[in-house]
Amino acid sequence: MKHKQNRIEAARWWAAMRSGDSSRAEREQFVDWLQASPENVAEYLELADLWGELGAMGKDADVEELIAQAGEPNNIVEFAPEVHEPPLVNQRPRKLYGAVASVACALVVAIGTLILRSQESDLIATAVGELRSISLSDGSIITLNTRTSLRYEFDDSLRQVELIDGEALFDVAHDLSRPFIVSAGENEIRALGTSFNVYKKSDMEATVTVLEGRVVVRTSAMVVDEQIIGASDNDEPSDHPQVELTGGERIHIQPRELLLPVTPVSPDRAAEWTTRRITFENSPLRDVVAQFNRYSVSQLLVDDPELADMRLNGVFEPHSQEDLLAYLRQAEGVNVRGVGNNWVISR
Amino acid sequence: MVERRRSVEEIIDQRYDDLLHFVRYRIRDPDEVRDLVQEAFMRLLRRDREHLIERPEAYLFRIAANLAYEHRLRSGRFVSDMQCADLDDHSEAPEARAAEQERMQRLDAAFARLPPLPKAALLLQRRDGLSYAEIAARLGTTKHMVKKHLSRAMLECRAAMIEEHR
Repeated sequence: MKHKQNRIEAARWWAAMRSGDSSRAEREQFVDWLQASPENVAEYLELADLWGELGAMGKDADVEELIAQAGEPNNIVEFAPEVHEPPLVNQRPRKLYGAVASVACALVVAIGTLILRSQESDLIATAVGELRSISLSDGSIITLNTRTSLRYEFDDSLRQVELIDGEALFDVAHDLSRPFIVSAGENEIRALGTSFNVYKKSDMEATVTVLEGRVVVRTSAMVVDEQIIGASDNDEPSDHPQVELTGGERIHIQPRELLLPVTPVSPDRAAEWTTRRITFENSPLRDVVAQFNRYSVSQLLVDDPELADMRLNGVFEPHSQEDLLAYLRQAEGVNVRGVGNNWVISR
Repeated sequence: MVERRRSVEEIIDQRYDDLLHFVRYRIRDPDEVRDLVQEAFMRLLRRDREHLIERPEAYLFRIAANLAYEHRLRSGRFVSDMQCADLDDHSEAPEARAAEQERMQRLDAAFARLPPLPKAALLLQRRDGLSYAEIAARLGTTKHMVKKHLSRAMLECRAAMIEEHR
């Protein structure tokens, strides 16, 4: 089957734009392509329309079955001759090379599905202001807040997540045989089937909130003679302070506090950020600004201690720095000035 | 839970869906569709390049959706109230409905013919809203291959619809 060149390119761009991690250079090329001809624009809009209609397709289709089919040898043979490799830039398609490459790809895919089935791992990160959810093969869902990165590794006995930086909400699917463990620096959260939120501020400092179910929080960040030490080889995990939390409880772990205070919290409030909203109740401006700064490259600085203590109430969208600035601009005695990309708030 | 999984892009896509659909079904004259695309193209050229590069797709969809809306306003001016009712979604002309049905049948057939992995990738993305990384994990492959599968699925569906149309 022969395809028109710009149709191939359109499909190629469609898939590239849906990846969620297109680079600037890639988007630049895409704009060039769109601006090259109205035909390209028309073709891309056709795909947009098609995409809408495809929403009604395969409602009951079983993906596992398809994956199994792809692994069958006779399928690889069928798969090969028809593969198209639409080039990003204008390039003459090399047919033989393409066919050989696609047979190789099909084989890799077939082998890959066999081997990787029992193990699953990936590194996921969000940019400033980004919010992203991933669903894992076990049915668990992890939602990443702004500027967050985590690595997960699942095998037959363990589900391990390393929260490298930032904040994430974990909706853990119940699986008695495989504990779900989140490590955040020197702190570790263990769960079976539950839903909880972890905000890692540093290797030592984290806030854990349980929305539902029960988790065990264990910290190896201990204070000895004012010196913070992490876990060492001869440390028995059982020596580490640990605390059990249930739904509606929050714990804030700080390096210099051995006593771990558990505070009650509304579960709705704890997961509020997933709706891109934050409610402030009698919160000092210092905290509000710190929250907003997490979601934006351009930073706000409060240059006055009294102002930093000013209390704020209301529901805000943390992604919309403009809203907070507008609010502050109309407040009496508050001065907002831009310094480069950033904003200084003073009196 | 499902709500939380939808990315902002998807929500935007969905809103534009209706209006892009409108481009095809409400503007039945091919010349008018061509004019609309031409105008979308011109607006795209005039748009500040830096902005375009940030989110090219969102800008294109917004331009097209606006044009479709403008077209609706323009054409709506000249019809009576009775005909206006005809423009409502649920009261399409019978021949248009038949054409739409035929189109969906063609798409159905093309979709059924898709090779397993492109089909799986498409389902996981379009139907289940998974990210490329998640799809790659499910299919035991790389994000790069997911992109290829998806692009192939789109190309096959698109091509099938045109060929059989002629």
